[in-house]
Amino acid sequence: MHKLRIAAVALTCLAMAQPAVAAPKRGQPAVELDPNSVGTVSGTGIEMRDIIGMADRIVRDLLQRPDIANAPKPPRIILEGSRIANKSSQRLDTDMLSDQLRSQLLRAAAGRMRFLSRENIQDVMAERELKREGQTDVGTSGMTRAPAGADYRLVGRITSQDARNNTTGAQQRAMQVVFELIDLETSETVYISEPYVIVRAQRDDVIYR
Amino acid sequence: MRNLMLPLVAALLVSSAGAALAQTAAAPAAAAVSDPVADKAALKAREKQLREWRSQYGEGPYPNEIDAFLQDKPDRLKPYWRALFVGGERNSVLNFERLGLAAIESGDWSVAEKAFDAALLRIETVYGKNAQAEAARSLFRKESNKDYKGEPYERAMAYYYRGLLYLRRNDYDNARASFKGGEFQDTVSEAEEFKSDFAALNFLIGWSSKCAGDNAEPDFAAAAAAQPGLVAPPANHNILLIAELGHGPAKAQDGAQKEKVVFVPATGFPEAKAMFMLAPEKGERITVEPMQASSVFFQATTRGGRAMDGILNGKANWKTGTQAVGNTAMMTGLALMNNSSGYGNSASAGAAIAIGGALFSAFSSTMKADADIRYWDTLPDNIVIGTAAAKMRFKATAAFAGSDGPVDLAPREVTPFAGEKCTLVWTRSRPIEGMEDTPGDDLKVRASLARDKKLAEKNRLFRASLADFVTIASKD
Repeated sequence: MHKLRIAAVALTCLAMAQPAVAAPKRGQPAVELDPNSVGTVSGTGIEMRDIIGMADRIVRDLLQRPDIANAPKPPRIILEGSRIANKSSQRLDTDMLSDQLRSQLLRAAAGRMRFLSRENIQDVMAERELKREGQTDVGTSGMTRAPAGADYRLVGRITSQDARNNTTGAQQRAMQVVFELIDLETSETVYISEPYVIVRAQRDDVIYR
Repeated sequence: MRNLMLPLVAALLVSSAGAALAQTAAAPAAAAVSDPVADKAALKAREKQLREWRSQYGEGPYPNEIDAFLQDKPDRLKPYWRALFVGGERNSVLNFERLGLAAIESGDWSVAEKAFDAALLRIETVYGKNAQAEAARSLFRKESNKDYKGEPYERAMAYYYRGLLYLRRNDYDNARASFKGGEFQDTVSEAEEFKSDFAALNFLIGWSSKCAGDNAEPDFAAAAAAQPGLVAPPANHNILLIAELGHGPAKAQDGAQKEKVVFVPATGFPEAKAMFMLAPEKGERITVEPMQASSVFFQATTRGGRAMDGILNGKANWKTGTQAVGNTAMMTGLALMNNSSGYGNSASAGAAIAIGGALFSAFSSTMKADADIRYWDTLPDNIVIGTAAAKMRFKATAAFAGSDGPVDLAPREVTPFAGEKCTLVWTRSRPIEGMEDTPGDDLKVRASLARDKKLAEKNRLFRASLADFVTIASKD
């Protein structure tokens, strides 16, 4: 009986000596994650799942617009990262947004919308000059009088509002992304996306507050 | 026992450093008569020795590993790369910041950008359940067990430098985001009355907005409210002139149990003003006296306390209390023993009380209330900001003055970073001279953590990742 008591006390002591929180695993080789999922590391800002999500919404919106997606002549649109203004407090490469959006739109529209590249206009002009100087042949699609003009430009704006509760240490960031399709002849906004809003909060350990 | 081990480890590192040097010196002679079998044996012996050191003293790194890592690094950045490599993940934010700032000064832009990105990535990481964070809160472990993120003023300065690097690349949106991130750090405060007053960041948010073609008035107004005189620039100004003066504060421990962090202002630099001279290719020279924007020392000392201070105070109170109880019990017990002429119940009771007191004192001595005083040693004291207008390329120099007139510092030639819309001119009154090791690090804590297998693995991965970091940074 005495030995049993000693064993019980020893077991209790051992149990109490266990760390309260499980120790982190030693390491992990790279794993494939679903880009639409939250992922193993997430914060309060825009993440890949948001970029895919907002691009998906805009593609659906635009494809449902007969004046854009079913126009007699496919409209020409300029969509570039440099015209997505990041006014938020998150450092962000806006090319991620524009590339995702252009890629999804181009593939889903299947020719019902056409996209023009102004980012590569210098390359276009240089190639046109080579063709016209006879340095190269005219290519397979022939020559045009001038580079294509655009009907619309898709522009965007990212804004944010940060808040902090210094009593609890909680930080909250609200971010809003809005896209607009601007008629480059009339300046009219022919489409505006439903604001993509995320509000996320987190709290760091007290040792960093 | 652990205390005895530390000098041993230090001696071992010094002796192996000597051995490494001796190996380097002997290398040319050995190369002439290279024997593959002997080389292989020597390599095996070396690996065996390293294994033994690792099992006895921890992961390292050991001098030959440090030398190999530093081999291809430029001399001007070697101290910072060294500190980063040796300091490991726990000190990485601080050492990335120091490396980044030194890289700005030396014009290693890509290294600077990647270093500040790496620091900010870690600053923005939220520590939910983290063993080291728990250790830092523990009654029996020092605060410096935690991964360093720095005090809010240090974090804000990391965002400030990242923002300047974005401005240099004409990426005004991300510059603004960085400065906003810095301003947000400045709102971390225990007391409600301490709110963001980092005027330089407000001004730079405004400047980024101005360069991006956005409305900058609210941010310039916020800057002027926080620092009277720091007014909005005229609409035609396209040159931003920033001078950083003197040295930033150091941290020191204070309080009976070293539980308080105090900020010690740096001394020995009289400069309080700067003057920029811009010499355009054609036309008259432009002289600009920048406005006082922010004092780093002021930012360090006006945040109104940390939440962590409460924990450290609690630890210190426990330690002081148990120490007092232990001492009193020991004194009482010894007095009882003395008064009972060595025999009887009183003597036995006295002995028991004295032993109990000794145990209490021993228990008290295991409590660690020491505040973490790792600090960014290469920060400036003052930031002054000016603006100007110029339509052509120019050469810029800066001179410095104190309250008694010009300071005997050589005028510094500054390379302007001409942008599409805006130009940035940045300089410091004093060159960056950082320490070779992580400033303020507790070497006992470091030695103790080096023997922790999980942390050793984390550091091994961190050091391996530095190789990728160097490759990416060198591609620009």
